[in-house]
Amino acid sequence: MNSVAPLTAEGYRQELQQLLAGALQAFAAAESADQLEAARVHYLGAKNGLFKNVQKQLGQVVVAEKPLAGKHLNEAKDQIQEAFEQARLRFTAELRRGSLDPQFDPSLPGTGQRLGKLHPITQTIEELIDIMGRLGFTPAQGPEIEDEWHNFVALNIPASHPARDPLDNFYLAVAGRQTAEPLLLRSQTSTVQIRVMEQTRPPVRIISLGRVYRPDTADPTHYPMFHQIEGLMVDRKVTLADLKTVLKLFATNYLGSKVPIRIRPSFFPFTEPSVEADYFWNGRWVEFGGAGMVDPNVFAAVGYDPEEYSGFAFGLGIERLCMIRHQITDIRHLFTNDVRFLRQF
Amino acid sequence: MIVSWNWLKKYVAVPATREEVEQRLTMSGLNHEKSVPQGSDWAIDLDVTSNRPDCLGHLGIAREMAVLFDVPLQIPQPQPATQGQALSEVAAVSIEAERLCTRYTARLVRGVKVGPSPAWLQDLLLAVGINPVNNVVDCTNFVMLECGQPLHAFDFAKLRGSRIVVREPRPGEKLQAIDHREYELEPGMCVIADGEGPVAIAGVMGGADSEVTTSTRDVLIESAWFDPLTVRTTARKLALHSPSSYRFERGVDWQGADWASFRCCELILQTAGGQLASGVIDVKTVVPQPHFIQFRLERIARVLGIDIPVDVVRKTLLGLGLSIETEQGTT
Repeated sequence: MNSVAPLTAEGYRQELQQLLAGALQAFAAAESADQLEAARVHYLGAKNGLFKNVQKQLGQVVVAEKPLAGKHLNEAKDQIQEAFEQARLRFTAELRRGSLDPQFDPSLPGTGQRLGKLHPITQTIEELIDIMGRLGFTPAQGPEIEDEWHNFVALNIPASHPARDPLDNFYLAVAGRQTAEPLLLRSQTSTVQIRVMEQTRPPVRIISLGRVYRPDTADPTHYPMFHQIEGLMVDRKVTLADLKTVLKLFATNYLGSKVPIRIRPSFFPFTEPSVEADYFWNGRWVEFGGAGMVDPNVFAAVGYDPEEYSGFAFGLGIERLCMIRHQITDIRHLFTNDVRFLRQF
Repeated sequence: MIVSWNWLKKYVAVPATREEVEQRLTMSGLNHEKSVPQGSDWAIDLDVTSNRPDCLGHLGIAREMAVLFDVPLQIPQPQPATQGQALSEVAAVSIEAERLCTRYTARLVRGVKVGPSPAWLQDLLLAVGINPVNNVVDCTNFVMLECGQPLHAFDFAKLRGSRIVVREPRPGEKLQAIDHREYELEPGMCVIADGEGPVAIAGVMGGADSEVTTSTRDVLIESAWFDPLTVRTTARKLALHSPSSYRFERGVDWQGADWASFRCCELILQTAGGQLASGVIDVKTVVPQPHFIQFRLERIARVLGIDIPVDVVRKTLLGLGLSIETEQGTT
């Protein structure tokens, strides 16, 4: 078709200049990555791009002038490419979003969001609430900042008791509030039992869960903040045998059906008699909590008649239960908030 | 509380192995932590809860064993001979801090020869982790570990004015204790003073100046009752805790003070010689009244959910050293 007249090198150069001018203008005028891409296809497209057509015309150049024309062609090609690259930089951000990245493959699987997980302590708490819920115990909560009445006095812990030593508790600085009674971070969740009994009449069947605070130095088994679960059951004719049954059911549910438990005498100010509960694990007895029959003095403090009602209370350390379940050997791991540790649960 | 297996066997002969005894004690409230061999003896580590200061001596643990295995408990009956001038003619004791010290007993052993204790005494002390010092001090430690009553031996010649005054410290008073550190005392604490100044921090630690040394001839033996809260706050303030303060903090048997004193003097005569002055100085400011507890048998089943036969109840209470005043409806 275009074989009418042979081209001179100069004519070919003018042809290229025309194309180059058009391409530069089109690239500069592009207002989006899409428009730029359309311009690129128009001028540089591999099949029907205008540059391709001009390239084909090289064959029509007179033989003697072909080397010169070829040189013009290469110069023009470089210039157009350069112009395109320059124009492309204007839309780099847009391209990075992937919408126009020529290497973007929408059929590939996406990059998943990293999902968070419940903390192992939270998981343990949820399981404990579930187990105790099936035994009829309702969760109850109370404040973490307590007064001495709820943390000590009502629990039959007199002022002379070693547990009340200011050095063994986190008392709050209440400067400027001299008239107010001392406040402290609760050292046990038994405070919740007092609050519940003060407000409700028997029968009571609750568990209280939450953080407690004691100024212990952190080591593999101690931490100045930890979690407790406490159970309280008060009614007519509640006995130590009922306590043992509940502890047995609890251990069976949490640790497995073949775990033997035992109770042995101990001492706590707020229960009489008091016991320690052990379960048999890996060939030895492991302590899992303190318990006992609610001391009549505690009932008197909350206005229950100890002649009419009896009850039991037990307290278990949640960290200890969690650590046994997951074979964690250092309590501090639980609170370091290292995702590499936490994602394992 | 670390107890010696050989020591316990002085008071009770149980038809059981050591392991069985440890197991029974655990299940009756004295949780067994571990046992460590000590030569031909065993050091048995038991947890004693704060409500059981009676178990802070070998006799207390032996009493539990005697009841658990239904065998008799052999309590030593000290009967040392006394000689010479009566104690009341050569020494005097007065209690000014009446609330902080409700009983103070003193006995005097003259002419002791201070030196190393016999092997049997050293072995028992070493078995429970106490380093032997000399025969007099070892006897006071032995009796404390036997019955739970802390005792202190003063070099009588160093007590100025030959007198003991139990009082609160005066402002600015200091004492160099037998650990050879100086402690600043303050009102609210309780000290043992002689005619001039403090010679011991009551229930916590004795003073260096009046401690028993190889040149000591006459020793005054203190066996007293000090207020638990005062001992605890004092030990805490001074950061000075001792086997003595540990026991006074938890409560010592007021009635047992004289037995412990007598027992200690007997052992001093045996191990260090000398003569026990006749008489005892026994000053009491408040005499505690016995507690009468109404024990309602029907509460056993109501609280524990199991029945315990009345003869088991009776035998257990009597075996633990309680006396039953009256019984009603237990036929």
